[in-house]
Amino acid sequence: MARPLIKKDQKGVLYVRPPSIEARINGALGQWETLSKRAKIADPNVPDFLTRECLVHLIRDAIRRNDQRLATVLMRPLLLRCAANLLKTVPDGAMRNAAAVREDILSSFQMLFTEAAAEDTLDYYECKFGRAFKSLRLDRIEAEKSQQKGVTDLPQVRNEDGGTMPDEEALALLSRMARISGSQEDRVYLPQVLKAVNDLPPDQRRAVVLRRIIGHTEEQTAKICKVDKRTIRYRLARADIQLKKLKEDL
Amino acid sequence: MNQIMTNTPLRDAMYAMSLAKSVPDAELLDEFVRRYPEHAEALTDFAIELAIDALTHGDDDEETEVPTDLEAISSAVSRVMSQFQNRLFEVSQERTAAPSARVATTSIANPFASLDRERFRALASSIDANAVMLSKLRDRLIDPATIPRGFCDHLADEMDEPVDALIAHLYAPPEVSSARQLYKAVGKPTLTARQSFEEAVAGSGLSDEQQRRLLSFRK
Repeated sequence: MARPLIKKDQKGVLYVRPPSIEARINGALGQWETLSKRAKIADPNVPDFLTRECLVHLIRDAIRRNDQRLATVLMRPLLLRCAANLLKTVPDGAMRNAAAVREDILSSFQMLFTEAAAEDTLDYYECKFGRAFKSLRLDRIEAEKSQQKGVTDLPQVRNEDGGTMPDEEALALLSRMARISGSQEDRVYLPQVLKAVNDLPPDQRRAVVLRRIIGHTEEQTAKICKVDKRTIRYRLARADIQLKKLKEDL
Repeated sequence: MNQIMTNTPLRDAMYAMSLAKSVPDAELLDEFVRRYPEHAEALTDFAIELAIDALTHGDDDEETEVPTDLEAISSAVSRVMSQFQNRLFEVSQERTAAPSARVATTSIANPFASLDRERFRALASSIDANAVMLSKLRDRLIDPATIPRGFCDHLADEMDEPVDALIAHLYAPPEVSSARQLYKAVGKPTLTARQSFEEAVAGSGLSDEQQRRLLSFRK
């Protein structure tokens, strides 16, 4: 029987694991002698595969029972999966010291298991590992970017023509992708549009994401950015010009 | 570079936002900003990064097959594993040094505490067990991970207690209920390792039929 979670969501409701995760954990608890073998299964389609949520629970359980051997045996495959995810999400060249940042994220993650003040954070990882790990990744990347800013500005990532990008149509594509899966054609252009959005000056980028992806009204976007509506319209128009350039280049 | 990711309301809010939706929308962001007005700026920035990231990398929630022999990741993983093992050892040492402090910090209500001897025996009988087995549950001497959930539901039902409260009790550190028992031994009673559910059933003097019924909850 899996230990109940103690974290609550923003409405004050206790988190519960998805039933499939709960069932997998209950099936694995007590089967200590088979776990080290099962943890090595890398194919998610194999019935005995241990999901990342399962591994988190089993490692926490092993630490509570002071079973250091099992905790260590289970931690390595979990870290390998995290490292493989980071290779895709923080690839070399995405930022300075990408390899060091990836290792820093992994290190911060392993600390959650052994720091009493942070241990219950792992409840999130037992519910939706991917999204919880994304939260940690973005947090650490933001911290790293702030640190780097103090030294020198990061080099701007440019498109093939050396310019920055987004047009109404390109921005509409972002909105479609944010709300629904988007068409095949949208998917083809999405990476370039996102790169272009990331290249926008910070105030334009903020306005574009709040208005076109998150879906705030122009008025709400203005309030959040602490400027008037005209300024938001101006920033969106500036972004549109840059995106128009992208459309011409595609 | 490393830092301890201690809990703060902001960090919890970030996790909660991330878990709530793959791409945050205006309604969700507003809800968080209303709830944590002091972190409005940081949460808005985080929502922006989350939105861009979700569109760039997808939901990130699918398990994919992992190439475990990648040279590029195995050396970093080995270094982090080394940190983890060192911390595990330190934690283990800390536990050995201050076990009483750990127990003292835990104050989970014991749902058996209000039962007098007669009601305690009646409860044991109602779940088709005996006082020895029930004492092990009361004193948290059974590894909770090995107790079938169905048995917990049944026991909570017979006790008229919320099952969550019962599970929280079972997961609290074991205790020696000195207030309820008399010890003939010269020394003070000490805690022993927890038994598995199967061991507890086998070692409580239950009849074969009682053991069979209790173990049937494992299915």
